[in-house]
Amino acid sequence: MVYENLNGVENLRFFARMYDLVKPDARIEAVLTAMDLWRRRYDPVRTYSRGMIQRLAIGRAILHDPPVLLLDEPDTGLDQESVAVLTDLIDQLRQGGRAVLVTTHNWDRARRWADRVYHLVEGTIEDGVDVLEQP
Amino acid sequence: MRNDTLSGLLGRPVQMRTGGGTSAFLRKVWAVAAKDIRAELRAKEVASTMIVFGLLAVVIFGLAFDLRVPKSSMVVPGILWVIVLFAGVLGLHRSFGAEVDRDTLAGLLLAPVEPSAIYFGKLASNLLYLFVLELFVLPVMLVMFDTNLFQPYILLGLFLGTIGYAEVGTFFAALTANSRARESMLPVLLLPVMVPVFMAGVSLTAGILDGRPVSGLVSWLVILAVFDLIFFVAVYWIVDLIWDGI
Repeated sequence: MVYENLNGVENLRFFARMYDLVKPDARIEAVLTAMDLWRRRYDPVRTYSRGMIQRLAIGRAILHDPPVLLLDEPDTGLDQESVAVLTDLIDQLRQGGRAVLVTTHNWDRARRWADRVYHLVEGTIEDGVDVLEQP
Repeated sequence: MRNDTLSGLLGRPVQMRTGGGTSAFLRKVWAVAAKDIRAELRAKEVASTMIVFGLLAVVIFGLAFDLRVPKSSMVVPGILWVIVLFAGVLGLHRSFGAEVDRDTLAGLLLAPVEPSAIYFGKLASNLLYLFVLELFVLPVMLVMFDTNLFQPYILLGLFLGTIGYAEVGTFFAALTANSRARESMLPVLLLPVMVPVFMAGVSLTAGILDGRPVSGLVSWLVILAVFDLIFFVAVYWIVDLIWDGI
């Protein structure tokens, strides 16, 4: 997901070049601050914890502010602090009008994060729950 | 506090340049190459492995042929090109294999980048690694075999042959990156295609070392240059198809 021999800034700068972002440095600073990685921005990613790598990968995904975000089990192996950052981010993305599709094994988190929750059983959607319409 | 930074992050519009033509393409080629070179300078995983393998191979070949061959210049051309080909494979398979292992290839392909820009960026870094390998191997061969390979036409042949090798090798590395057996698949696919480069390179180097007139050896240089040109054009046209469906 990210390059472990580069540091956080270098990772995001590389992808900023790939996306041809205008004024990438300001955006990189904003993303790293939001992901709570600004203090460790010059440390090689290989020295990051799993949660920090996951947060950097999410930061990379939102670097170019995509209208649709696909997060495949973003909470796997995350510590509580990282889950809290992720939860706040998903809240903000939702409120900002971005579509977020998340897969997770954690039913409670799915209900906390989502407007609609679908239960996937052996590759088939079994039922859908509209969280907003539930009491 | 965190919500403030997050809402500030999403509140600011993000602008991306669109178009840009050749300069945008070259910027992305350079970005891929610079990223690979910077990571290699930190990790020293690829080029250093190639160099150590190359130097060990020179020493082993030196010991193997020292007592049995009357004139070392008889075997030096073959040894030089075998070392370049075999040491090169070590680095080539890592160029895309490392991206697959770290799940970064999908992220690269999701970016608005032509796949050929990724290919040419990888080609540039692979070329650099191969040239650095040769920079180490040639002086050691001079010492081990008492044969001066620092001659203009030998260096020109090596330069052209290395470009062709990197072009084809980077292409096959991309092709085999998603295969579980990529370490064995790459040389099996790559080395037969490199036979023309190997034959032309060895013949040119041997001819120069034997003191034959350059006019009679130009055809080998032409073969190397034509090989480079054909594969440059061919790979440019078909490299986009490699990652279709990923």
